[in-house]
Amino acid sequence: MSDFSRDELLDLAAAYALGATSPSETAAIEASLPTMPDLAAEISAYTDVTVTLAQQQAMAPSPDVRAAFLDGVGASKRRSPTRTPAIAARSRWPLALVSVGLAASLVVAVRYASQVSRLEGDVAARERALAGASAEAEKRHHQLNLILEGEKDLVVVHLKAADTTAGPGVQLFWNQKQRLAIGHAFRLKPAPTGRAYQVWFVVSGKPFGVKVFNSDPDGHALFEDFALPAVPDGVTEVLVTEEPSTGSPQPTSAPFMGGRVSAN
Amino acid sequence: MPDVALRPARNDSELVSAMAAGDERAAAAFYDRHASTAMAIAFRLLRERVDAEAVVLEAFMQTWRDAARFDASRGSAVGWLLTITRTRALDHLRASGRESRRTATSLDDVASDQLAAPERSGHPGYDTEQAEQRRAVASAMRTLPDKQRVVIELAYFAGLSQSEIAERLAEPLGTIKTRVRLAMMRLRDALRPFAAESGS
Repeated sequence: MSDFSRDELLDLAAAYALGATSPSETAAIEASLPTMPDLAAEISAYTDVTVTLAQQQAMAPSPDVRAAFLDGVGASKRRSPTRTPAIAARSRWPLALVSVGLAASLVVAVRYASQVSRLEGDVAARERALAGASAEAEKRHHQLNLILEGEKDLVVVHLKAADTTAGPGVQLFWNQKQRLAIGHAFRLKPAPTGRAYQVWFVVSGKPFGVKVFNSDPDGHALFEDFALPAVPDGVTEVLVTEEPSTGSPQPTSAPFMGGRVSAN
Repeated sequence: MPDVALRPARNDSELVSAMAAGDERAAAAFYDRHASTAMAIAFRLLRERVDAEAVVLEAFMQTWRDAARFDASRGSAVGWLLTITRTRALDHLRASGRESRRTATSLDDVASDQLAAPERSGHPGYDTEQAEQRRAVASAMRTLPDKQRVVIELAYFAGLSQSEIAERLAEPLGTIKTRVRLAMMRLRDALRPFAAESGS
């Protein structure tokens, strides 16, 4: 049940289209969209405004982006080659069923159509699962390479909480040469609603936020895309605090986990 | 090159439906039609061309992967794309810890320097329409009271939420919400003819 009244949701439509609603407002609106066509229409009208605003500043990306996009599209099709045939089959089957229906009965045809529809749904679900697994495998491959190729430039930092036995921890793999890092959190329960965890590098006693993340319900998290310093020297310690979900420019709570960075 | 030839043939929703069916040409057409707009959104928030291009690529890949989930009854395809782009850009800002440095710039600033005017499509009618639309937007923004224009700029061009705007301007949240709503209503009325065209 939404905490927002119908009128409140309609009042939020403009802000939602602007992307200016809070997480709770956004969630309430999205939960209500299927049952409030007038809300959907309002948002659609305001979204058209934001699109028109954006179109005033059109700025072409480099041709490489287009090439990369089409490469990605082609690669995903190769990984999921049944996608197009499945659609083709969808368009042929109903015709076949009409013929069967002439000879048999409409009831039978409807039953077959239902089965076909269900089978197509199964195929689509398997395709999505396969695409997801392929993407996950690619990601893991990339992460493994990041670690293996680090060699002497790889720094591993073990972050521990007060309870070093049963408490949470983070393993940080930092490839200093390539300025890339991967963090693996474990036994770390998800941050409360509206909150997240933030990783800090301590340089000359001052903390610099390098990553905001949250853990999965099973207490694990694998995260990358750190904002790493150009020069790795001088980072003496890595800390983790709980912060607002958007992160914070400075720590607003005491670190509950940390680890020292050993010089190579 | 903008996909002018396809504009009357397949609207955005049809392109996304074709993408859901695995049509690479539809993906290319959708990209050609909207990449520059998505890039504008990403660049406006990130201020780094390389980062913005990465976000644009991610956003289009997501539209390709999720094309089957797109529901035209909930809004336009380009609105969907730009929402994804904006979300990805904000995620990128947060991940890089640069979020606190977000500032807004106005459309007037945009027209001048690094954001060149939109490329010409080679289609005189389309270019004229775009020029007319730009004038209408600039005019609509100028007619907004200053306080309303500021909240739109902070929300849309700097990516701040209403709460963040209230905090930054040291004004009550309710006041900011009212300004956002009134400003958007004015813009909606002023831009209605153009919005209808872009929402195909």
